[in-house]
Amino acid sequence: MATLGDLQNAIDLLLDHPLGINQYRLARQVESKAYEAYIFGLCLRAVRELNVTPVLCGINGTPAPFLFRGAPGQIHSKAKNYGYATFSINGQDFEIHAGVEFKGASETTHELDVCIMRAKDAVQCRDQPDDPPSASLVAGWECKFYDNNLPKLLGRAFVGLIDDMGTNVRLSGFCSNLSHPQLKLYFKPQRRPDRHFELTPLSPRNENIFVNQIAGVLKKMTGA
Amino acid sequence: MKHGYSPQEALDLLIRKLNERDQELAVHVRAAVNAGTDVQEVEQPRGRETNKPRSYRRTVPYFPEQALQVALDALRAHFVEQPLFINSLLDNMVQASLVAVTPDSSSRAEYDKPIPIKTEGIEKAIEIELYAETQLVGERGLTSREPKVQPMRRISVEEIRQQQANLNRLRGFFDFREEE
Repeated sequence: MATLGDLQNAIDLLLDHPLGINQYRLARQVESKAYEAYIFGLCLRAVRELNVTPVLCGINGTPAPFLFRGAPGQIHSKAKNYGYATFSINGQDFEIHAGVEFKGASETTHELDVCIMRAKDAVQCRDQPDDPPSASLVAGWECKFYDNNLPKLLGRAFVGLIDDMGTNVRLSGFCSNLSHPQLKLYFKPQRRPDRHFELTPLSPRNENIFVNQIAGVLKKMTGA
Repeated sequence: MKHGYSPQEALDLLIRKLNERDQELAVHVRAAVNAGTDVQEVEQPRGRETNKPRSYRRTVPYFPEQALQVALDALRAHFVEQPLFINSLLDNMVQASLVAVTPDSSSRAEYDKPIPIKTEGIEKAIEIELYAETQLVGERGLTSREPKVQPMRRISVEEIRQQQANLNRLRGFFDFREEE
């Protein structure tokens, strides 16, 4: 029979493990950004699926270390050596960014957690500092790391954001480590962003769906 | 497994232990447990049997057995998923190249077609910018946000496996189905 003492020991084992409380204290400030960075990594994997090697860049030079923004920022910000990735497929150049602001069709600025955009526009916005126009966006994802109860309003907000990004967007999606039955329904209609719930390394199948979808869209777009 | 404690006692112990170790994490887990779950209710209007039953959704609290599983899912997100995100990112970065652009290089052609250094297969250093708590600066009490960074370091697969095993063991301690 399991006693309260046994249970106490099992809880202590979990919390005192190096990946228990100590790891949480170390990582808690960047947990949501780490999830965005993970999705950024999956985009790199999608590019590699097309036998293309993505190149990691920094706004001020070689990204060593590669730095992810801690808060939404402008693509031309040189405050730090913020990282991004570039790749070319069939003569078309693209960039992958995390936490960059775009100018919506309504001229309102919107932050995209992770996105793929046309490199030509990105270069222009860095040369003549400006927010990228919505037309430069190829794909955009909202990335939400939660330990419980995803709020429904996140879904509504993202649908509004994508609506303001014009008609050039080939792919958009709402990614989370959790699932939400109501949000699943909300994203079901055809013209809504795709839903990528339970998108974590614990669900390789969900990762593959996400990666293959990006690779498929890029392939179709570039005729690769 | 037979239990010498009730689901409620198990939940109370887990929350108390979390509270002792880290109050912020305890708040997160309590919020998960207190969120409850949505259920669909059907009600027959009184006195009017010909009317259609009324259907509505409402949030009800979890049973302690469910709450224990919800708490473990929340802990799994922090203790297992987060390390896996970092390792996955590092794995995917390993397969990319680094650009050989120096800070003073402003050649458009070079930027349009970045020249990579052959760094595939090499682990990249990765950092996430973070902001310190708002600090008071100077006599006028102005606030400042000092940017700092958090390095993302690879986490041992063995440690992740151990922590998953610890979570699974606890799930066993929290499984009361055979006693129902």
